[in-house]
Amino acid sequence: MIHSEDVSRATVTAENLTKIFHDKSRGEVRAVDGIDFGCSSGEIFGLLGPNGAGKTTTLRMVATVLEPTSGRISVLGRNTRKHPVLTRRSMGFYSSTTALYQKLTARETVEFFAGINGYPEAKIRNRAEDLIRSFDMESFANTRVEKLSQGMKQKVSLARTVAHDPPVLVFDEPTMGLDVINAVRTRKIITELRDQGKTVLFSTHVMSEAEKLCDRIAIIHEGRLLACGTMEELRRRTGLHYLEDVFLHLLREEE
Amino acid sequence: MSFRAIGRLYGREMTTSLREKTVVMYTIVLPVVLYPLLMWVMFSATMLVRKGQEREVSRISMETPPEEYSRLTGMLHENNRLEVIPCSTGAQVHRDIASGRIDAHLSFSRTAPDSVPGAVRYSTLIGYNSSLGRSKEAANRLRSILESYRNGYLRSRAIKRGISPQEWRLYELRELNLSTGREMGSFLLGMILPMFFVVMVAVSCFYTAVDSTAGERERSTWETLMSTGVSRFKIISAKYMSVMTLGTIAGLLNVLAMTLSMKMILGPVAGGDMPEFSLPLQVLPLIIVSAVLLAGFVGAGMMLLAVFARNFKEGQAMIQPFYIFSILPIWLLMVPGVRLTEFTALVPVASMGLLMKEAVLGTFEWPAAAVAVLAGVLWIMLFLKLAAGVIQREEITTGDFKASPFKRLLRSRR
Repeated sequence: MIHSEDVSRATVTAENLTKIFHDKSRGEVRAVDGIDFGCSSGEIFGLLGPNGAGKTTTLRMVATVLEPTSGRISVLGRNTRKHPVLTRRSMGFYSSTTALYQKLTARETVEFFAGINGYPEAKIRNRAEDLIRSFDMESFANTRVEKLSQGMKQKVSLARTVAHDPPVLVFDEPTMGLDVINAVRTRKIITELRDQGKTVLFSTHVMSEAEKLCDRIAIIHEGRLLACGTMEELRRRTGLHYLEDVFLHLLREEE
Repeated sequence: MSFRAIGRLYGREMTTSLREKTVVMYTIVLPVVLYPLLMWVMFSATMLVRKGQEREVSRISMETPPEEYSRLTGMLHENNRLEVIPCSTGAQVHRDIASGRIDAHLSFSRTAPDSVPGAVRYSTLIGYNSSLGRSKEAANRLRSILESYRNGYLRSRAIKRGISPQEWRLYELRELNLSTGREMGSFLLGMILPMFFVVMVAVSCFYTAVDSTAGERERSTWETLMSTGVSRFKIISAKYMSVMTLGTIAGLLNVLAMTLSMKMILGPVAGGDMPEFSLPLQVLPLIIVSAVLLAGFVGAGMMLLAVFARNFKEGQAMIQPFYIFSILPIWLLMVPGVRLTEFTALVPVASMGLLMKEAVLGTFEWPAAAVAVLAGVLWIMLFLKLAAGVIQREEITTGDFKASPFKRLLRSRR
């Protein structure tokens, strides 16, 4: 469905990643505490954990929105701290805090984000057309975002995330607040992106979603990585079948 | 530095701003319609009140005048805008005027005995209350009648003494206003335009600066933008340029609308000595420069503060003191004799207003104008330098502020 020109192998690695916030009432808060992981192209790597586990903070650091307190993140072999702009150019970042411009049309949105992220100027129009077709947005391509339904907005949001055809995609709880149809559609798009060879980082707190979608899962709790591996590896480690049971078992182990 | 990304960001800022009803209201509708409309309302109301006052009959109480003033009594009674009513005594005059029973009082007192030949033997006193419009109007009417009576009296005395009218007129005081219609027009424009201009630019920058920073954060598009492959400095530069553009547009539209409205509203009011309200083409570049500098200064200051706000409401609260600070120097524009000098050129806002005022008046001097432009550019560069440092801060990117807005500001300086 999505035609990619560059599906070269992309790799994201995090080494001893730590993020500390200073809060007046709680003091030092270690939102992310020495996490290590790596994911490669053609893979959906899921961060699974309850609310407040540190998933969003981790993904925000990967997307260079936040700077790690310590540790190192590398995207496509580049240190994100040294090359934040190049990192962001090679990445599409989607989260509940990345809304759309209400006054732009769907087409303008896609063209704007493709252009701003360095997609070749001469190809922007064609790229927008391709995305409008592949995301089934023809009927509302020239309608302002403010007039679109939730499902339509979701399509535009996903299209703007991939507008510049980035090799790395970061989705922070992309199905949160969506109805079943839109959630299924979103998961289908993410799977297709993986099949095109993109590196996909995905966070969720929904066990069934992680189980269905992710090739490998990292279970995070209170900023620490409890386990990381394929579903099979996690089952072998815990001797349990369902992810929910695996998750609870690891939590008990940690405590 | 690649300008393509800035251009694209700027284009997006302008497109979304101009599609926002509130921005259009503050940047285009308000400058074009509101102040000219207010001016029309103000002048129409003044004219209406003035006409009403002219139609009113003034009630005058008068002590019995000396015999030789009998002609004056006749003149007062003949005037259909005066009603002479029974006399009040000195103590009652104040009370009667305050209560509205009378508007003014006329009294006569002997200043020389009859035996002094040729001396003015009486002085005439007009009693009125200048804080009351009707009393002031009555005093003006009496003054005019007394002046006319005095001239007639002097003329007849001169003739009686054998002084010819030609000789007598040698002492006549005459006035000649040498200003041209264009000079009068420039003077009035120079008085009014800079004030409205400063206010209009500040109002436009106020809304757009908050909307493009705190507003974006409130709508959750701030992080979308911050996660794109453009440097933070380019993002803030594009935003700043759009705020400056919209402020400049608001200022220039206001100048145009005010000039046209004054031409249409003040022109007919001025009657015979019709001022010519027009802006010569050669002053337009200076007006544009002062608009750009003013919008640049105000916009930069406001954005620098609004970037610390989590939402639109907080942004408004943070900018309010700077807004007041920016429009305060307009009092300097109204003080007679204050000109654009090498010293006043260093005062932000006032220097830009004065530059515009002197451009309209055609009295500016190039050295002071150059200092004003240079100082304006330096102010803007200082703000941009501060903004470039502030925008790198993590909490500015995420908007995850914990402290109160003003504590955030103080911390940002550490």
